[in-house]
Amino acid sequence: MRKIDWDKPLYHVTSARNLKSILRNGLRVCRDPGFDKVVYLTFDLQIAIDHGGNFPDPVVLEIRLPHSWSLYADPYIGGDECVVSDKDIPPKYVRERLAKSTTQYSAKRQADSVLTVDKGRGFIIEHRTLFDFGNGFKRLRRKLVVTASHCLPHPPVMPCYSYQETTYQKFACPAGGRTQCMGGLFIL
Amino acid sequence: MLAPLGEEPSVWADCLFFDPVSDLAILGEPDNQEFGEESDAYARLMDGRKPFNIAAPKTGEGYMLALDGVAWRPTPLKVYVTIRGSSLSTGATLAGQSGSPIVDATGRAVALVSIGAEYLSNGSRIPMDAGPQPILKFQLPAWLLKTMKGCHHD
Repeated sequence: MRKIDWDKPLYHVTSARNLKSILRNGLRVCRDPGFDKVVYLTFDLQIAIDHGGNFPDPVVLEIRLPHSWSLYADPYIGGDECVVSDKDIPPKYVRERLAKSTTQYSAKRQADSVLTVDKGRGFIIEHRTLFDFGNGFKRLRRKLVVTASHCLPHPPVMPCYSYQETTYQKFACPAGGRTQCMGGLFIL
Repeated sequence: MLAPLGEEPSVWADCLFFDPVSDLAILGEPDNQEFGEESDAYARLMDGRKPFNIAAPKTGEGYMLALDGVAWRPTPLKVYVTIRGSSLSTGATLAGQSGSPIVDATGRAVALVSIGAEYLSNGSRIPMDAGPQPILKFQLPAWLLKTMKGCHHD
């Protein structure tokens, strides 16, 4: 984790419906079972604004913490721009930074998240699930591609029960050769 | 199967969901035990690319990625409620845009380009409003919608 400049604020984005409660009670760590009991913060205002796309009515909060506050690296997002606090943050450290109307998302940034899928296109989404790594359930994130089914060369072969059945072996083959199609794994 | 826009497909993908009725499919990483190199290539392709958030569509302005792969063109979104549920139509779509996300004003994906429509006028084809486009919030499988980014915990 990078050295923290305590003179600069941290940011957190949430839904506007939570704003009144947060300004009254502070930012509380997540209490949902299976999720880390932390508050997510970032040094980068743009990251907070982009993350606002998760909410129908995003609001960015500015947080100024005392120097003695303990912050940790975000184990999932990683990088130097995001940190977590494992303690509730009292309301006196929190104030509203940006109103909903100013957190308009820059769609231009995500053009590179649109991919070529065979003769068509697809785009990346994130699937979050809980997975037991041996020391309790943790969040697992994986990126998937959504596309139109007609962009795929053909439907996967039924019954698609296991990856062996959903695998195309050597789908790409020499010209004039015969492709071996055994399921839903595609390559061109 | 997959590649950055404008490049020839070279990356393998595993089909996780296929719905020919709503014209929607989901691709994921190949099995990393059986297809180690292909799985690594998939991970490299995804690396650094920001996933789209998902939202329900509303009637108003939306955006579609143009064929140049750079510009986001505004398009009118119209949500209809029919006896079969909600339906979405957009402005004209072009051949080659299939599978592109349709995003709302805040950049969240609400649907994808599935269908186009055009009419003939003096021998030329004129694109017209197209729909129904598959609405992600309604047509993605429940196992994905329940846990994906966008259904966020505070």
